[in-house]
Amino acid sequence: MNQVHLNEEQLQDYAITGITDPSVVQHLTGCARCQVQVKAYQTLYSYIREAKTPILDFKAEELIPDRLPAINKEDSKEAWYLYGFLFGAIGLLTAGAVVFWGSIRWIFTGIVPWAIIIGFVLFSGLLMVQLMELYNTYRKKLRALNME
Amino acid sequence: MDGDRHAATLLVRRTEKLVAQIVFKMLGNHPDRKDLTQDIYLKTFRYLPRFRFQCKLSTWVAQISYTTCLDHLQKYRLELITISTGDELSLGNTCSQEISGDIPDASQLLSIKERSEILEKLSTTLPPVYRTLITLFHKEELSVEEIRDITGLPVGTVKNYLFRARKVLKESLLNHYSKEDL
Repeated sequence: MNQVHLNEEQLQDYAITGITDPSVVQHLTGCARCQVQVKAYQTLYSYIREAKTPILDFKAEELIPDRLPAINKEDSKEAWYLYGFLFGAIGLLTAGAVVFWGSIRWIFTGIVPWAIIIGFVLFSGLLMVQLMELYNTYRKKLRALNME
Repeated sequence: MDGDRHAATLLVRRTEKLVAQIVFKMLGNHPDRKDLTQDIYLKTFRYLPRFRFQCKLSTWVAQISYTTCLDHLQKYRLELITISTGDELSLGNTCSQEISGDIPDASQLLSIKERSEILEKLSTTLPPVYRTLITLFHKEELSVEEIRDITGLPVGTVKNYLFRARKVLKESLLNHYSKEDL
């Protein structure tokens, strides 16, 4: 058995996680002093976990002021304007292309089909990335608001 | 939350336990507790537009609670982090040393109330910052990174303070049980 006692860090880590290297376990099985130290830490942790949560001796809800400060919604409005403009422009362009297809068809004459496909795929890809970013931001905000 | 009292009430309900933990651990039975809690929530509502969703909302409220308590304690020039780690805490390094004191199993002999009282007594030896860190880590089960966000202390410092606080509490616990002769 290793005659040198475990240091405080090893004792604390073992008491918290129960995971350690075999030499520590070997020492612990033969050393009553270190066993007492580990038991002391484990007891301490259980005392802390089981300690009563303090309760405020007044209703915290009553502390909410009558007039709550107004939230500046400009930032979120700005983002929605941007997305509104983007999707509006795409919609208008698509609608225009459908309505005036006969007049604008000449633009695409001479362009090989695969070039149109590549353009379409690129555009769709960019749109998807943008939508995913929007969704991720929304998820991040929801996670932050989940206070439990 | 413009005028939305329901959202404000929800925010208070969901965070009041964590706020209470921080206020109680930082201030103890200080008479200014109610004023300080009101101040914390006023700041929360005032600065809510600055919340940028970079952490959980509860962590952000806890951050406001911690800094408000810290400012309050600093106003009274109270000792925040100094801890006595004198010779009485040093232990021998070899197995030849005598073992003193024995600890009953946590689940045996004592009720939760009694254990809470013992812990309360032992915690008085700790400065407010250490008490708060220990509670946030072991009781509220927050990660070191979350505690870093709340306190603004570097991760290494949080770990170091936790280590020292546990050591002091453990020594106090061993002394308590050897004195109580359980």
